[in-house]
Amino acid sequence: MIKNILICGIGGQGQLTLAKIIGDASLKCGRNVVIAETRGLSQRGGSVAVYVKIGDEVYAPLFEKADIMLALELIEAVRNIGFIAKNTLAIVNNDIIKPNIPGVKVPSKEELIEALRKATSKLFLVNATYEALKIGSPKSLNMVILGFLTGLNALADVGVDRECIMEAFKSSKYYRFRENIEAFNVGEKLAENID
Amino acid sequence: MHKLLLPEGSKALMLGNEAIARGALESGVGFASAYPGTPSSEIIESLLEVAKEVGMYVEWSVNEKVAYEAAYAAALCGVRSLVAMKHVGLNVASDPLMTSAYIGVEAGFVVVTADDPNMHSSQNEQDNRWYGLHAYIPVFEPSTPQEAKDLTVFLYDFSEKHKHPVILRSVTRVSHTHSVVTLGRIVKPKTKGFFVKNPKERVAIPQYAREMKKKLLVKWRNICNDIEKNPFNKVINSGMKNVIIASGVGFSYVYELLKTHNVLDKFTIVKLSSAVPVPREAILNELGNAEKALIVEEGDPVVEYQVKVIVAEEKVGLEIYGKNVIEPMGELSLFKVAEGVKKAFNIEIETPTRDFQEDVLEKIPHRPPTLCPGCPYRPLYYALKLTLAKLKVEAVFSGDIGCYTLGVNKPFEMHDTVVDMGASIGLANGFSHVLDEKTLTIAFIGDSTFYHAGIPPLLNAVVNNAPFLTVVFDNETTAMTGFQPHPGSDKPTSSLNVNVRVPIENIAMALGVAETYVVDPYSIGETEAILEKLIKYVISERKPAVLIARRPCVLYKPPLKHGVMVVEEAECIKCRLCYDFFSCPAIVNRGDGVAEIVKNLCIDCGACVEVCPTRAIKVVKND
Repeated sequence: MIKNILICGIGGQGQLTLAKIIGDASLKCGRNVVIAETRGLSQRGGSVAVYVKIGDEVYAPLFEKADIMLALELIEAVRNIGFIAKNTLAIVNNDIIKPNIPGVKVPSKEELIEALRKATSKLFLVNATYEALKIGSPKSLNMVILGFLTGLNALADVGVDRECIMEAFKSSKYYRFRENIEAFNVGEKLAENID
Repeated sequence: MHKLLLPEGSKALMLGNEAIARGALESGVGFASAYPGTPSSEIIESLLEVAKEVGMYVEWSVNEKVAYEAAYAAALCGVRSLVAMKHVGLNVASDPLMTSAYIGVEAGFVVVTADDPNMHSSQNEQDNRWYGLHAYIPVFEPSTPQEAKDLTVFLYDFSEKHKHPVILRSVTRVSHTHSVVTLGRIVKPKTKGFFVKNPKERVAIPQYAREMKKKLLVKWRNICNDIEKNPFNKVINSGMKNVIIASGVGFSYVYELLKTHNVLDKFTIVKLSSAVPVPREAILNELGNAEKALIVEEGDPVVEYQVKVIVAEEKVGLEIYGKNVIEPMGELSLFKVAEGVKKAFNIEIETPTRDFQEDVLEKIPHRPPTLCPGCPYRPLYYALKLTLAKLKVEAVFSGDIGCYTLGVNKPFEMHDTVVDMGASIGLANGFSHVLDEKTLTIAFIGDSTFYHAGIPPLLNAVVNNAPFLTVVFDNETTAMTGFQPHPGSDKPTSSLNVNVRVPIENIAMALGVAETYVVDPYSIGETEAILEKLIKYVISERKPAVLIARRPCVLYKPPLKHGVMVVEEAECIKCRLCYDFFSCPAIVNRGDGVAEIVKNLCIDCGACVEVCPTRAIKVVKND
């Protein structure tokens, strides 16, 4: 079994950090993992997609369909809608950031969400930006998403449990900041309160 | 402990580039050099982090040619060495590359080229495996980070055995892929060697070079024979009628595709890690009885052409497919490989696809990379645009490679050409002579790019009286590739840990540019005044001038905060200057035309204060 996770958003939102913690967690749980990253020019506020594959035997760095999508922004979630299948778990930050183009027109939030709902029956909108701002650390929005993913226990079927994620998070430099821990906890709570 | 120094037998999550660096440590490499460039930078970056502890020498060189020559000299002296660069960097280093094949090496010498298919962060997607055929230098390509490490170790022995340089060709999806790597033993580096004088084998003058070429051709035959024994080439399921030859990362896609569709047993797979030369006998063994073959490789048909030559020479009759069924442009994907397998072998496998019909997709705007909030390049472009408008001067903008290339996008649209590193000033040497006198030529170049390839063309402009303005975008670091130091930075460029700074203005003045100015681009008014003076000077005196706009990259060194930025609503006249013409991502139209600061993007740098004609954007002091 291979679990394909697409992490998408805008350069600078912390996709690589998310991928790194999930990757470390997989290694700690004794799983194989391949993470294909986007670095360089695209990190300067452009569209960024990171591909994470977890399983026993993983070879190819890229994939065509995601089992899980972690989207840090709504427009970017819809840009990558082709990766979504009917049963894809989509965890999407409920926030729009307009591209930095003078006079740019973007679809409404309702249109974007509607498209995502049509694509998958498992869409979770998370107010990650809002929660991160409340904590006073807008950069921690990726940790809200990580917490939410952990709260859903969504990697358990591929052998990556909460313990491994926590261990990976704790041994990363991001754990040194109180705001990140708070953001993670908020995300996890949000997921637990769904059912 | 640093990841690169973990003990033998450890498993680590490593970037392909880190794996190559670890491979160098396991080979006792004593000298490593590079010029940064995506996707290659992390090799030297990570080696520099452990250099002191390991006891090796590592440096950021000023460009790839110098990096190549420095590492090559180490190998000539019996010190194992590594040089790394992005694909286009090898063009810069191609001069020493070609002749180093004639001269050879004493100790192992590995040239790492990280190619960028799909041009994620590059001006082209050239396939550097061609260089191997061109220069008589063998090219190896790994399929995974683990193989990248193991192959590096193997290549030092291979290079030493043949006393010949070798090329390790990586691609973005190996260099910038993290995966689990099992580590080997680190070998203490040898950092000092000696040079044996032997002009007949080291001095490439025509008389000696002819002899060297004869020896090179013999060496190449030996290498072709030895490639047959390369343990990283493998044949899986030998003897089938359908053969897939998969090179480098191509193997990863082929293997996963066939395995997930349970059709591995229907094919022979020839896995190649040596793309140039290919193992002739091993390939003939499999193709001799086959009916069809498909070649899967990322980039150009380099393996395909070699295989077709072998098949023609040996008169083997079979159908060969390659780039005719797999699109040669961009990267490979499971989709592309599946389509290729289907077309070549007429078999049915379900192709994973991203096809999706949704009306809303048409409304999704592009999101090109952009200058960061607070980037000093934004007020510089803004000041230049205003100055040219004020003076009613038409200009051609000869551009270059770095974050400032983003000036090509809206709102500035101030880049007319981008070719290669240093070409801004190079092309300006031509533009300024052939364009009419009313059209001003302006060259834009970054600080690191100036040191890399801007000095000779600026000297050329001085001695040939080329009338153009050079604007240096100096943010005191190599920002786009991840803040590597350069000769103008306040960080040491090598493991010797000594910081010697050579400011760009010193170089420009030494080259004879009489009108050389330095300005802080956050002071928009002052920048405009100096620009006006220099533009008038170039037009009237018909001589080159240089403006260095200096302010550190805000990601590298965030500016001091003097307070929090706010828009005084009552004073905003909805002129749109700040969000549509200055266009900082942290300032938006809140809907009715009034400007609004985006709190989670704004870094409170204050660069926009001067932009507002009514000074409605204010700094509210913190108490």
